[in-house]
Order: sequence, then C-alpha cells, then structure tokens
Amino acid sequence: MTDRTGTDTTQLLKGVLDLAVLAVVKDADGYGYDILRRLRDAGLEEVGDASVYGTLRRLFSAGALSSYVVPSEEGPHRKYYALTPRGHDLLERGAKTWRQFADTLDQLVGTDRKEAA
Amino acid sequence: MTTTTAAGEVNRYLDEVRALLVDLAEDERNELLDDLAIHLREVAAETDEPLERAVGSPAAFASELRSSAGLTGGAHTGGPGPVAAARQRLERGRRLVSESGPYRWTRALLPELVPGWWVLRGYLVVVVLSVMGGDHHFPHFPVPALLGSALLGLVAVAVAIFASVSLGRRHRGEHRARWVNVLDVLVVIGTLSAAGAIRQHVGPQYVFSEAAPMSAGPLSHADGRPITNLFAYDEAGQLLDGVLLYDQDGRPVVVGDGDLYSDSGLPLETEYRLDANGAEIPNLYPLDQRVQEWRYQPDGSESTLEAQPVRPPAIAPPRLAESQQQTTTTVSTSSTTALPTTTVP
Repeated sequence: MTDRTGTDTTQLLKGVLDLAVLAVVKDADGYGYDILRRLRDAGLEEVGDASVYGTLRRLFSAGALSSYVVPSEEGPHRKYYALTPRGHDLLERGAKTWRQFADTLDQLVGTDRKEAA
Repeated sequence: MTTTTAAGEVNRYLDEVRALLVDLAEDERNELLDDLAIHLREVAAETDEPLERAVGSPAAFASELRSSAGLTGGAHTGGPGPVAAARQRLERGRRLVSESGPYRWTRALLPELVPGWWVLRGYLVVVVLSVMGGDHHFPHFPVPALLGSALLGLVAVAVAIFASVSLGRRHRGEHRARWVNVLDVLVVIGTLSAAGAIRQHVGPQYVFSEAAPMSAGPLSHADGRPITNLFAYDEAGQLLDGVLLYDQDGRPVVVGDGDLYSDSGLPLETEYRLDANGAEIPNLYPLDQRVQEWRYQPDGSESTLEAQPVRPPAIAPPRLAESQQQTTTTVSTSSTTALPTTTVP
C-alpha cells in the first residue's frame, strides 16, 4: 500500500478516520477493539490501534459519542461507544463533504488518467 | 493469553505510554490512560499476540495517540517537549532491544520460571535465618539447621516454601504488591551475605582438615618422605629386634598412628605387638608390617593383590674406628637378638 514517495493509506486515513469511526459506530455500538476490527474487516487494514483509540477519545470529548461500560463475565469490562445526536449530525455532514470530495477527486484522477492514456 | 499475564503486560505498556505523555496536563493524561487501560485489556483479551505486536511499540502508540486524539499538551504545544523527546529517544533504543529475538525468548520464558523462584525464595529465607542464627557450618547441606536442629530446619523449609508459593500465587501480575518486590530484594541480599558468612566459616576449616594429616602424620625425612618403620642395627650390622624407642622426654617414638603407605602408594598393614594387658605397643621396633603388592600370573594376564611381609632394608654398616670398637661391643652383645630372617649383607 506504500509507494516510493511514502504516501500510503495511513496518510489518507488521517483525514477521514473520524468519518469512518462514526459510520462504524452508527451501524452498532461497539467497544474499542470491536470498532477497530470492524474497520479492518471493512478494508481499512492499516488503521492503527492508537489512531482509533485516539479518534474515539476525541469524538467522545467533542460530544459526538457517548460511552457506557459493560461488565464482562470473562475478561475485562468493555467500554462501549454509541453515537449521540451530535454524532449523527457530524456523520451526515461529514458524509456529504466526503462524497463531494470523492467526486472531485474521482474527476481529477479520472481526467488525469485519460490524459495519461 | 491468561488474564493475569495480560494484565501485567497491559500495565507495563501503560507505564511506558504514560512516561511518553509526561508533557500533558495531569488530569488529561490520567483520564486518557484510565480509558486506555480498558481499551488495551480488550485488545489483550482478543488476541494471543504479545501486546506490542498487536498495537505497536509504546512510543509509536503514544505518538499516534497524540495526533489522532488532537492532544496539545500542557506547557508545550505542538511536538513533545525536551523531556518527552529524550524519553522517546530512550524508548526507541529500548524498542530495538525488546524486539530482538533473545529478549523476546527470555521474556516469554520468565513466567515459566517464576514458580521456581517462589520455591527457591522459601528455601533461601530459611537459609538466611539459619545463618543469622549462627549456623554457619551447614553440616547437613543442603538442609539448613535452625537452632542447631536440621529437623527443625527441614520443617521450616517446607513451611516457608508453602508460604512463599501461596504469596506468589496471590501477588502476581497487577496484584503484585510493592512489599513483595522489597521482600525479593531482601532475600537476594540476605542470601549473598549469608553465602559470604558460610564461605568465611567453611574456608579455614577446609584448610585445617587438609593440613592436619600432614603435620600430625608419620615421621618423615627432611625431604618429606615418610618414615613408616624403624630398623635398629648394632654396629656389627646385626638387626636388633624388640627395640623400644623414646625421645628425649621419654615419649614413645611412633611412626604414625594413621594409615601408612609404602613407597608405591599401597597400604601397609601393621600388626603391633601387645603388652600383658592386650594393649598395642606402638614404639616397639621393627614393626611387623605387610604390604599389598601386585602379583602377576605366569601367563601375564591376571594380577592380584597379595600381602607380602616388609623386609628390613639392606644396609652397609659403617666401619668404626679401632679405639671405639671395644667399648661398644659389650653393649651390643648384651642387647642384640639376631632375627633368623635377617638378611644383612
């Protein structure tokens, strides 16, 4: 996933990880590792543990996520995150911005490819 | 991965991340790390990998966390402060070591060795107590004596090992109390000083017991060759039998009361003649001795040990000056008894 200039999905991810995390939590509440796994299963294989955890923390501080602890009979307690109304709002706006951005980039890259061909 | 080892691993990891986030405001850092502990335990519970392989090194984690959580830090904004930067450099060095094969292997082995240490710790506590109580000689090694009793020591070892193992089982992983660490250090220091005390007391004893047979051993010549028997001859070269020898103080001269060996290193059997009460007379010479000698069979194949009587040495009696001969003859004739077996040249 890394080319010689050092650009990789990790760099791209940084800008959109908030959106990805919000989208995953919207599907279902989840605890840190569970969210991480769902992101990876969805194809974001290079997403880092600390990045997801940091993002969850930041979204929580910003009021986009709420959390609750679920005691586990086997293993540690789990801190579940859920989307707040503010989180929903953020996700909607973020998704809109992303689509526009992706369209723009698609056009750019698409045009570029045509010119190159 | 068991819960206890995972908890210990999580705590170590958290400590390292905490050290890398020293520049954050304390409240912010604590809150962050409390949550992180939960998160890391989740990770540890979900994976069989070592934590560092699952989530990356603490340094990488801390820096990724900074950027993703939008942490600014207290006094410093932007990059880490000089202290944190130094810590990060240290962390990079530590990472090089901790990711090396031998380190990982040793680290993985440690949990297996810990119960062994519990047993050893119980034993060592009793050894230290024993030496502190003055039992430096360790006569029943490896059983330490308590109040001079090896049985008491053995019972104490059993009790101490049981206590130490129970303690170890109760205080492991994150439940390990600080005083248990202090106990471990004390046991090690105590053992080292006890070992020193044992050495000091055992050392000289060794030297003494080795030197003793040399000094109290048989008579010997100035060149160190032992004297195992004494043969008295008169001036005519006649072997005298039944000679009692005494020194200047009237003490019997005895060639040795321990085991005697011939020149070839084979044991000499000495049969002392007895007095009227049946007691041995050790200074009545020559001693009746037999020596074990190898006898070869005619075909040369077999050899057996056989006891052979020790024969008097072949001597060349000095020729005396004319004037002295007369006076000594009278003494010799009255006291000599020629042995029939004597072979004087």
